[in-house]
Amino acid sequence: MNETPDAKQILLQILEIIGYGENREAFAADFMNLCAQEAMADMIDKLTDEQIEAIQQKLAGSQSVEDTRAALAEFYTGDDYMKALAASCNKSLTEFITTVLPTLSPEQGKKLSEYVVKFAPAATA
Amino acid sequence: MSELPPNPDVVSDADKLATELAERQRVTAEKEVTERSKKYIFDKKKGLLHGIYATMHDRPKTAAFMTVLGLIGGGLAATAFVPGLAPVGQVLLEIGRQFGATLAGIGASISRLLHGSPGEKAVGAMNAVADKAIGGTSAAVNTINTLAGANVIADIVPLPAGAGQAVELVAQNVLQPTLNNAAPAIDQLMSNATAVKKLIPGL
Repeated sequence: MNETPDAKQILLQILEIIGYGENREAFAADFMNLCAQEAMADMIDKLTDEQIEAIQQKLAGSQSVEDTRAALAEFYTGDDYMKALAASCNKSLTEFITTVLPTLSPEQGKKLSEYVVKFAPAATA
Repeated sequence: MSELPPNPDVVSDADKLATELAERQRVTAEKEVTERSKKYIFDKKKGLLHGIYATMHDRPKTAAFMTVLGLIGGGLAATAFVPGLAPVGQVLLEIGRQFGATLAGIGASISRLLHGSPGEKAVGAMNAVADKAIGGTSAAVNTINTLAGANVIADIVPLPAGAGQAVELVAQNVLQPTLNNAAPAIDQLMSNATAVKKLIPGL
């Protein structure tokens, strides 16, 4: 597996294996949004009150995307966000799998194992 | 004494019953995994809201900033605000890459479980104890499966990265509540089966 895995496809595949019985597309969208939200919350939470004040002064009431990006750029970068995103994705997917694992049948467990093994370093090399 | 040939009607009824039972079990399992999955998403959203609520009390300016910008509710769309990021596409790629890395990290743990990990062995052993101790009623077996599930989870969480946090997560959020919920059934079992004590250190 040399290409970057598609996040939505990964979630849909896992949901199919575990037999999720409702809207899988909606679940995948919710899951990815939550990862992004958690990363964003972590980033904002790290800012001090003084930094927040400085950002708000720069924005001066503007809520435009460009102004906000420029105001935030002084305090964190896209790389910082990506690190926070990696942490939230890792935590969320691990938590989710450990949540559903005890309910899986042996056959589902085997399928999940076979799917997951595709991502092992030897398989990705 | 010669054996009677199998009665086709009885065999057919037994097959039907087995098929029906298997289907019922499949539907029950699907319902449970779906409910667990939905609850996970619900709890996650609730956790984020609690985080914002706590921030409102401790750091009102930060909470106001989060709310005004709509950063939390915005999900992937809100990543447009992040300096240096192309909106959504780059973030989706990173999420996919990280999901792949996470699965690579836990793959070995899942395989170990499926091929005879201590957690799996505990499940089998506990089922056997439950069968002998209180006649194998489904409620008791389910309780013990839940309890054993906590051990399984402890076996699955990838320890190398953030081992302390993972152990704490399992202990606080999974293991202890599970043990608390299962306590009455465990008490009953303990009086009948001392083997349980050997399987659950600390009880």
